[in-house]
Amino acid sequence: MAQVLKVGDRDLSPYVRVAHDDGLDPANPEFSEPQFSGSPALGDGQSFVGDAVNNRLMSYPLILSADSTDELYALVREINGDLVKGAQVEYRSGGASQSTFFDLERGRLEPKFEFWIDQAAKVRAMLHLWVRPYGHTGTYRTVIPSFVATGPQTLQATGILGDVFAQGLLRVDSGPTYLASPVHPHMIAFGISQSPSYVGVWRAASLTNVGASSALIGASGAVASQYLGVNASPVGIQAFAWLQFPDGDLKNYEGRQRMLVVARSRVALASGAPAISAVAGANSLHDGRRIGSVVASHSAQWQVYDVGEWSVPRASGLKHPDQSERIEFFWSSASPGQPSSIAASLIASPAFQISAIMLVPLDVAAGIHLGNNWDITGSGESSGGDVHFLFSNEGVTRKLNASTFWRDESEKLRGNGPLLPPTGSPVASGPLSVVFAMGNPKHFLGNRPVKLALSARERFTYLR
Amino acid sequence: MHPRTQIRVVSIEQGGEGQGHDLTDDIEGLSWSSVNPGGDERCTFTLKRSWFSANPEIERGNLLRVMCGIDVLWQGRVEETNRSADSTEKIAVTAYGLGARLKDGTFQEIFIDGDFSGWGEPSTQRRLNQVGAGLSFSPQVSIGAQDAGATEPGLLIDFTSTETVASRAMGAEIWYYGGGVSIGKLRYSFLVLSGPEGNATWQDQAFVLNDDIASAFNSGTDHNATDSTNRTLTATTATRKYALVASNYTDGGGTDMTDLHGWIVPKVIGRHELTEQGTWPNIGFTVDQMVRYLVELVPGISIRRIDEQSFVVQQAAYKEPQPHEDGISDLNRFEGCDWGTWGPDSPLDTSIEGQFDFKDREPETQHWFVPRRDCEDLDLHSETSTLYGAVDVTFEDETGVRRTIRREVDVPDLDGAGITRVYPLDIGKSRQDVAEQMGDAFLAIWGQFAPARGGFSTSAPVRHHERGELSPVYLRADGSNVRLGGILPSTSALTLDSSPDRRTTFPIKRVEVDCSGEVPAARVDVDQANDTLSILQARQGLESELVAA
Repeated sequence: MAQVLKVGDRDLSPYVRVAHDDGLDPANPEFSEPQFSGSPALGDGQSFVGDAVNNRLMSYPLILSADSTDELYALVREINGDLVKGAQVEYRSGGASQSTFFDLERGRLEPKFEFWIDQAAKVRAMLHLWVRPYGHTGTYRTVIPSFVATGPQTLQATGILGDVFAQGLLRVDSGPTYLASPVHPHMIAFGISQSPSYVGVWRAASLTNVGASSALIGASGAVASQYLGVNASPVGIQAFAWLQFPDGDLKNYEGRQRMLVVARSRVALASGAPAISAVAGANSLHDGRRIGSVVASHSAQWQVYDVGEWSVPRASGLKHPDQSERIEFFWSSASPGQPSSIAASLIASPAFQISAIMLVPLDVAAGIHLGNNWDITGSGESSGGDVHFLFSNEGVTRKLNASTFWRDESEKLRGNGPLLPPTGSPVASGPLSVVFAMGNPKHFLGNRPVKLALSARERFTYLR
Repeated sequence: MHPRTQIRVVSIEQGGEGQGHDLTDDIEGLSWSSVNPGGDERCTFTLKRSWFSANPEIERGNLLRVMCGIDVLWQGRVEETNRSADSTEKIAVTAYGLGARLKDGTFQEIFIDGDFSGWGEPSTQRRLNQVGAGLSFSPQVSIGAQDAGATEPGLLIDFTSTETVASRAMGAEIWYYGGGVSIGKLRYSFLVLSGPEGNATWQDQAFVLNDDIASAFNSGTDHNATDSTNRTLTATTATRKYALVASNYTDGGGTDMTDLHGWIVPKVIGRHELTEQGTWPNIGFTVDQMVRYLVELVPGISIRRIDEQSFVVQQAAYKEPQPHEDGISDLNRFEGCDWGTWGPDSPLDTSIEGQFDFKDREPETQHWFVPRRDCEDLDLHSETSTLYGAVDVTFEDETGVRRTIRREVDVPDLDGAGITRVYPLDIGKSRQDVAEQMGDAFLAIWGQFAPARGGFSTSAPVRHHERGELSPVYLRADGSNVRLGGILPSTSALTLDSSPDRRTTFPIKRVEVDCSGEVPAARVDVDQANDTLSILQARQGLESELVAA
């Protein structure tokens, strides 16, 4: 196949010179430099701490030609006009079957004036293109075309190509059922894990019930229409549930994850509120590694609580005694620092109810979008009143529905667009896990429909 | 394979729709710092922009956040923009942490004022008015201190050497002015120290007033020469700026008086409505109560955590306007807590206010671990010349006698060198138990390992005791400690005891993260200097002031 070089809409393929010492270098590898840290006097060698990745400099030797010298000069001007930030560069070597695409930051055409060649309406030139370091496929490829379910989910994404993280595009459609009022608080949370066995959503039925008087109870609106209810005295500290991991399973959770809990408290205190506490690998509230605790106000509505961050050391399969294989959940009628004997008044029974645990993996990519005003009375992106949220890793733009984006404050978009890790090229990787949850954090309905689509633009350090 | 540290810099316009801007791709030379106490300190970066273009992203007052993933690493507000040019036009931006809001305004408050220096003579107009009304200011007014005596200090109205005059009241008034701060309550005891009791002809009353001529006031119970302890006079409006205690007597004349009336341990309390702590007359408020009150006065800062304290501060009055931060720092000398203002720590928190923490120190927790091999520019210096094996604590006891006690400790470094070093410590008026406590506190700091201070830099991942391995951009001076592995001398390196100690564990005092290089690097300043002694001295000094009046 013929070599291809395009910058924007301009095809420069006919002008490329390919002689050995002409300086053709479309894949200059010197954009990435490993960085090491540590003092040589204090140890052998130094630790790798990351790559310094700069723009890639591509060099294309050209010989431009036209019907006349005037037209040649006009061609030079037109090419200069094409070298603008954001233009797409396409390159395909003569032996490759697919093109590699790059995002241009800046280009410079360096003609070399040679009188006699100029008389022939030709000029030798070097085209330097400074592009973003990684080549990519040019378009987003659908990985998950349509995922429809209810409540928080863990889903699998497969077949990510490339040798660096692909840029993901996560599209979330809210559906018309969210449009009950123009003011509708919402939360959208997602996280990417490289483990295909990652379970990001633990429903009540998956929890180990250890409360002295707790039981699994059916309820419309709860996640999977069930919750674990603790029907004990509201005074004191009591363990009521375990999140149990099978032996050896903890390696799937290596790294950091944010723990969100869907729960509601039916107890009121005179001076505070019941607290949910989570502890990893413990037999009591004081033995294990405390993940965090949160004050749960009494409410008839299911709410999403941020318990804290749980971290599993990278141990290459070794067990860590301080992590063990379970997370214990306690509920306490005392806020941290208060004595546990504060009297409480029961509003409804069971006293404390937990519907689901969500683990949002943080180490690859995670994002949380929080907003309090969905207004689709303006220009929605589609008929039917769907509100779209696009989480993309392209540049810095977070695309939201046109009628809501301008209202959003940037700080409510926490995190980055999805990055999708590959495991090798050209063979597609195994599955990776995507954890997703959407809903009103103050009135979380576990049966809310979820509509997702995931696309990937795979990337390469060399050429595709 | 892991993606790079996902640092983003975002700014949010204040007011209007709060438009947000992501600056990450446009900036160079990003660095930020945090400090203990204080919290988020400063953030700087440079934008290569035309000076004349509209740059709403960096308008003064914009909220600025440095984030990594869903975590907020630093939060503050844009305050300075400096324009310069070399190869291109640049704008250098400096933002300061939201703790700066604690310095934006001022406050005045009388939490509790038992200082006798605030009491004095009536004003000239008041004297004139009272004389015209038939009052004779014959009795003498003084302040009675307390030293060895059991009777507490008070405002004394001495009627001895006074002879009554017919149809003329003999009396005295002692006035208090709070510098313009509204008074909420006057607390006191009233004692007839000398003379007959229980006579309705006596007027012994306290007042809280609007001005120095008693135009409007709330009056207390007329004690009529009857002992009455632990009294409270409450102001009904916020206009009461003065307090007054007065005693006067009228009879037919010609009586040599033998009376001494005392207004004992008077304490003025402002209108803050904090719950009193302690037992009369040793009442006051805890540091956490007062700090909470001050922070709640500041718009744009929310209280996230204030740890309860137990020490009752019996004297805290801020009559001159001062920044809230100065009040917090001053109160913290009694506790030595770690405090600061930060960004939100939960991804579900949409607030853009500063989050204020006031936490007990955790000197034994090794929050961070950094091995020696990952440290660059490691610099730790100990002031070994200040090691002491003994301290002579000199104090003046309740009877006025100056005493000295010696406290000792074994210091292997000194003992091995055959050196005996004794430090003289004079703590003024005190008791033996307090002197012993202070001596032991001194030796805990200066009698084992001399405090080390210094710092190190690192670009390598650091380990948090709960969160695992993190980029060094997560380091901050929030009261956490760092343990440096592999720095013990050979004589100590092989001990079996790996518990936190002052040889390897250092409180973090300041962190500066620099992202201007190829990878982020953190510079951590540490300091083992301990405030225990100064806290004890502050508490002891408070007690001395109150009893000695």
